[in-house]
Amino acid sequence: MNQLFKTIVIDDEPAARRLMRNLLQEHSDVVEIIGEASNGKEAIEKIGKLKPDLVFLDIQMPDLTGFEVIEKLSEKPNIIFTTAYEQYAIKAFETFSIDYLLKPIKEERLAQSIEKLKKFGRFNQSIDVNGLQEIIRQFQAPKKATALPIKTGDRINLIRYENIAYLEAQDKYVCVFTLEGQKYLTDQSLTIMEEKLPSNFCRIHRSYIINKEKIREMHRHFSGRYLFVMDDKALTRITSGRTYQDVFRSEFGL
Amino acid sequence: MKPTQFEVLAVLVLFSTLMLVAGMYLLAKMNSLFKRSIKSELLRKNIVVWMIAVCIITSLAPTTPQFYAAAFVNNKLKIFYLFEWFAATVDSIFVFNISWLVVKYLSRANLSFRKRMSIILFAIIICSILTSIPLNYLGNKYLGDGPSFKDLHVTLLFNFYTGCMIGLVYVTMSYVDLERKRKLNEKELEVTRLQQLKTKAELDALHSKINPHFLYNALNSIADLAITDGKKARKMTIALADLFRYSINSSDHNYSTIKEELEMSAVYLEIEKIRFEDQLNYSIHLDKDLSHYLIPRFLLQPVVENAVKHGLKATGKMTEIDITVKNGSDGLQIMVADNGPAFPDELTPGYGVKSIYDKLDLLFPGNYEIHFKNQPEKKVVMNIHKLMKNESAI
Repeated sequence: MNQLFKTIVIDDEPAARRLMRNLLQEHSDVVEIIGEASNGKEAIEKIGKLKPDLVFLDIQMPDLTGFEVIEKLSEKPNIIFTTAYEQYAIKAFETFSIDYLLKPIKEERLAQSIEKLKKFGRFNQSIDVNGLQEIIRQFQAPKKATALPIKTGDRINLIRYENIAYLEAQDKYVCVFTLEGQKYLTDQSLTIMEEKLPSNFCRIHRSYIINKEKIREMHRHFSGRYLFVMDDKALTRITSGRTYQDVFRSEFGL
Repeated sequence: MKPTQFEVLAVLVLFSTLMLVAGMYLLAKMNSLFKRSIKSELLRKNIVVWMIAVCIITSLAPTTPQFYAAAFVNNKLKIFYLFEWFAATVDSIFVFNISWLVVKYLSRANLSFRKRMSIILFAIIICSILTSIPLNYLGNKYLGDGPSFKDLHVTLLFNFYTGCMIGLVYVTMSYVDLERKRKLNEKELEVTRLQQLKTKAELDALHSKINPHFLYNALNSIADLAITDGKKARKMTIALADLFRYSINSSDHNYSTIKEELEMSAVYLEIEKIRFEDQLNYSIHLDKDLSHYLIPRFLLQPVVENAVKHGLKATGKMTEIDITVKNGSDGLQIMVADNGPAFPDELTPGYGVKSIYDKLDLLFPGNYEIHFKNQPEKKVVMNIHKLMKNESAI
């Protein structure tokens, strides 16, 4: 006699869950649906409580991804991923030969998965979530920050790196100056800013960080220091500090 | 000791040369001279032309036969020069102002450069000849043997010649000016053309094609609705078709009216509403008189898409999306609010947000502002300061 798999369908869209239920009616001799979940939190809860043998798991959900859900499970059931378009996830599944269904879901393809399940009893048994996510990260172009968020009062402004001319520490604040001459204040220290900013920003003085791509001229100054003329509207002039000499000298190849 | 004839002549020739140089200098600077101190263009030009005329005529003095007579025969050099300057004054005032009128009149008529120049040349020569008649009379009176029209034909011929000279100088200057303008225009055209091409290419790249993830999910929903709720399936198919037609942008427009953009946002939200059955609600508010203003095409889509994504993050409650477009104190104000979790202080913009900055940079450079707010409600605020109206749509 065939084993009956207690199943939970997890998807953020009601129609998608309904579709899965309908399609699974064909396989009621193998699969019995015992629950549904519409988001990651609910999924973790229900899996913990109902202890299903099989889970259809949507990858892209608003609160958690399918992978994050798996990571948080103490007991891992059989899992069949469902996904609309995650190209990178698909590549990762293939690398680990993990079963998945593409949306819109095809009946034949679902039947194949069920056949496999019947034959082997278990599958996707020990999913190496970390390995999987590592692969996805590799495939995915890393999301590069392109702007600096500055909080002023109740609003957050995004200042794109390419628009920043330089940053100046004043008192306990840091002023971010744009090419247009606009000034934004932040209460974070210049050192924190230095870490946050991409490599084309360079600290040349105790109280100055400049955008290397927005330097108009560089002049030799007294005692090994340099005078920078920035390419902003006001052609701001900034002199480098003695202690930062070595750092930016190597950066500029001087 | 009296200077010799040669010495006198040498001094006079040197003087003439200096006057020639001065005249040429003034001619070259004609358009910019006294621009600050004298506001009236006619008066300014009159003065400059008079100065040029005095310089040139003085410098040409040694080429006239009367010069030698005045200098060495009857000792009337002073009177000769006074007369020459007087003649220059009369000549310049008369010839210049008549030509000025002719030029002004012609600029209104739509004539080719060649025709216009011919008429002006002709006018200058005629004026120059006409002034020679009284000048000949006066010349005879003060420098010659008494008032008469003696040797009028010689003066006429001489003034015909000077008229030609003045005219040709004018024509040459106009031609050089025309060429310069032509080149400048060409260069400018080239620059704008290149800019347009660049903008177009960049916008093409930015026109966020509808997220494929969204498409496949919507189709998956339709696969279910086709069986469970035919009417909804139909509604969703039509909405998807509308959205795609808009996103394909077959007419290649960079701008859309606010009305169109909001309609598309509504279509998009309608699809999401069907997809997430009763988990999503939306409202759209638009000041009626703003509907025909132009904004970058697909400016709203990424923002609304983000709002839905963020709104749904807070599970277990109804997601409320509100789009408001109104006339702010600082131009147009577009606000997209959702009731999801607050924006983090360390906001990293994704592709969608970056694309709205890029679109506004290209189409409203320096005239927009975007910020993210958490209080009193969570929303993205876009201000566009200078607006264009779609005239043809009104």
